[in-house]
Amino acid sequence: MHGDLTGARALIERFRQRASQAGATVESVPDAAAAINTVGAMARRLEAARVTSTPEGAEFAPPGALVGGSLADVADAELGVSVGRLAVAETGSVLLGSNDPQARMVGMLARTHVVVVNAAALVPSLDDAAATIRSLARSGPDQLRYMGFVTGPSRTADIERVLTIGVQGPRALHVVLIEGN
Amino acid sequence: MTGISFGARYRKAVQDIQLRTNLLAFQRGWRQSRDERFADYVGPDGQSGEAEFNTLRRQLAGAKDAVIHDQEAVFARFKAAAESNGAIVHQASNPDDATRYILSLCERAASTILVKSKSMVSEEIFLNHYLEAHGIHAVETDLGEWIVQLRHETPSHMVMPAIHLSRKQVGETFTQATGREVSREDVGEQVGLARTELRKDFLAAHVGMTGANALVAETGTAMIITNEGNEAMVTTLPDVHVVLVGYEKLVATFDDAMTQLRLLPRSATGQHITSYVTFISGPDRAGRELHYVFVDNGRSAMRQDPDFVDALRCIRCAACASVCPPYQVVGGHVFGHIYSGAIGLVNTPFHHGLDFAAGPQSLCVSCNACQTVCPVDIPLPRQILEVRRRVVEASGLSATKRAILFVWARPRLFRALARAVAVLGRPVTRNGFLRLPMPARQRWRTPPAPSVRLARARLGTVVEPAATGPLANGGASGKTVAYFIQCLTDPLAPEQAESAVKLLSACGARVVIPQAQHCCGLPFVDSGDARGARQLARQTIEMLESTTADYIVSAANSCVAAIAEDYPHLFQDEPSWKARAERLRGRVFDLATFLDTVARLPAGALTGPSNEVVTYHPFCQSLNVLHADQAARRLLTEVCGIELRELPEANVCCGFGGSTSFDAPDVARGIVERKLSSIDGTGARLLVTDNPGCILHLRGAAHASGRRVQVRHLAEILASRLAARAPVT
Repeated sequence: MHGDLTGARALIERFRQRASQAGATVESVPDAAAAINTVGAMARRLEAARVTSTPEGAEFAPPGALVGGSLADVADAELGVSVGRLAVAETGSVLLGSNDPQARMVGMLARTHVVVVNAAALVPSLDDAAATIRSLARSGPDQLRYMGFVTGPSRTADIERVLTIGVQGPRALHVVLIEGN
Repeated sequence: MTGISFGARYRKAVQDIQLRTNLLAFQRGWRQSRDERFADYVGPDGQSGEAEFNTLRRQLAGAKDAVIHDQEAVFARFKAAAESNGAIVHQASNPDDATRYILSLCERAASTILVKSKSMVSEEIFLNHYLEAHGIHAVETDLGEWIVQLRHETPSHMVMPAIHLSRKQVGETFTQATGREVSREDVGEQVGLARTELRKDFLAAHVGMTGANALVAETGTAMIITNEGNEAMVTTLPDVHVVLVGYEKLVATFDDAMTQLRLLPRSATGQHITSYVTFISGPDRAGRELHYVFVDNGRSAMRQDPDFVDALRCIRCAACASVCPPYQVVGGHVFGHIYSGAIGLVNTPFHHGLDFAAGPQSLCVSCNACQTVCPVDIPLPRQILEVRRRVVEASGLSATKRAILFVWARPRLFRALARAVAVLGRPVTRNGFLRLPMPARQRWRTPPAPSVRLARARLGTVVEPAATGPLANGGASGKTVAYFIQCLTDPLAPEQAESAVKLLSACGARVVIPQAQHCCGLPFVDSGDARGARQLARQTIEMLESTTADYIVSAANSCVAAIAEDYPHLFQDEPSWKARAERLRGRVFDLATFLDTVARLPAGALTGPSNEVVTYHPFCQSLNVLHADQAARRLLTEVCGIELRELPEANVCCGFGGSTSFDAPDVARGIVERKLSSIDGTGARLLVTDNPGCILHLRGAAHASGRRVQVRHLAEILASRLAARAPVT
């Protein structure tokens, strides 16, 4: 936000508000080391026997986390760790993406999904996100063929419009926002 | 569902109290969430709520129109980009070709299971039936779709396929399907069952199928939105992914896709955004396949039809069903064919044939609510009337309707009959109602008794400005106003016309009452009889032109809407009549708008004692077409000093719907009961509204149900306060 501290703060607040409305939790941490601690504490709290991670998420996952496991390994792991490429304040979404199906399964099949994202990658609106998505989706060696916004946990209201969390995907979504300085 | 005749489905649905209850709760919840989500979105100009909704939908409609216009080029761009990303693009020549193609993908992958994420196009082309017949088990993985699949039903709503069912019914369905006892109460348990059961199929299938919400041409990307997370598994776990779509899903750029993303979840489920929004631009690894199957199935015909081309903007949010009053009464298995809601009435003739639209379209009450929430501003009400016109053209009108319209088109006969009923009915007339034995289906309303003296006789040909001097120094003073009575008001509610004329005269206008006037033609428009409508419209135009009055005013807002909005459309192929209709349009006013904006009645001009609890229900077209509701409110609150009790769901129709309340009395009854119970909730003893037809309908239903609420036209309330007023100095 052009080095505008109040603007940056407001943006984070907006993101936090929207993400919480969608049923996610947002925790701000000062740096990567703190993010590792936060994810570790999460795994302990969940008494996670299995933690899975995307290759990018491995940096933040507790020791022993499985990176790139088979479907059976990943399915219903207590915790999955991913890294967001972008966060959108307008909607409280994080943008995940990978051409590696195993990496995608982490956020798809774990019971709880934690996404670590840098506050520097927080943009105000979907229009800003569109610019990034366009360049990532363009043909070329760095093309990202699968990406998507994730906003809150998996949900349905198909029965009597009763909100139920965790249908096919994770039952909880936590966002760890590295604010840096 | 589709194998059962419309009549049978209709009769079953109107008996189903559970259905109506489920859908009422759904519609109320939906409306609240939808409105809140638009209220808390602030656009770049600082605008929010409905104003920003209108900006967004203009943007998206414009973007979609450009693509529809330029479809071949946009498709070519999408295809080139998708193919360069390694996808295979197939243009199915017809629905059979599409289903065969998908079957061959399953066979080649040696997959006996096809896992599906939600796709209305697959419903449209009956893909599941075809695959099952060829030994492939198609598994719906969206919870709602899975429920209706297990029940061998079609979705009753495009976004909430099983919204017609209660949790009890879902529990029974799951128990039957799995052979295990599943809770009838615990939705959480039911959802958990879907997770466990469907997981097996995700792991066994080699082919996954989805639709797409948008196809972004600039990069060859499919945007797919879901809440459950099933789509991610469908597109990632199997080796082959097929995207089944109609051409209308194409958008040019990601910017357009984002505009759609702002509108779609808000309109569909009342969310800022869905849990998952996926962008897929090609197969992710060697050995994986990504196929696009494009289906036309009537879309080209729609594109070439100027009356219907705008319907191709549809983004399948189903807001038109979620807001629709008849839909709440009968559900999507009756109000639609495969596609339900207003859009279903409009696209069914193109996808499945006019016959399948004939029954459902007859239930539309023309309240115009659908267009007010449509995120691409499709002129659905007008299109439904055009479907109705085509149905009538193809199959003719019913004998009863022909007889009624025969009389209606003949002013003398019409009035003679009204008089006959008035005279003969006198012995059974009590308080303005005819106390006649009614057939069972009509017993919920007491019919109004016609008056022996018509409004035109009571008013005479000219009413001079009030001798007391004008009520307001506004633009009505010294002007001539031609008053349009309305055919229905003339015998059935003359007091409304008298009140309106009294008010105009009090504002200093000289009021002329053309004695040659009859019917504006609206009952013919409503019935799909365009020829009859044009005939009466021509007579009305000629009659009004001959008055040379400065203004034309009526308290019959339905006629004002017909003259202002339907006439130019009726004469779209007759330029000279169209021009005359458009010239007329500038002079025609509904009473409330006239008193507010032309006569400019000042605050406090009609204050008087008021100790009743009063509530206001705007007639649908006053609200949605004429936008006269604010004027009516101002007249009641500021001019009369009445404190209004807010009516919940004031923007929902009362169920009159012109001829619909006679064609489908059960629907009219269902809707009016919803309205009356809202009125009960306010504790009001007086309901003020602004259209004669609705007033007669509401009075009749209130009377038959033993309610004591008075239903009055705005004109009557205002006029009743004239006696006590002081002239402006």
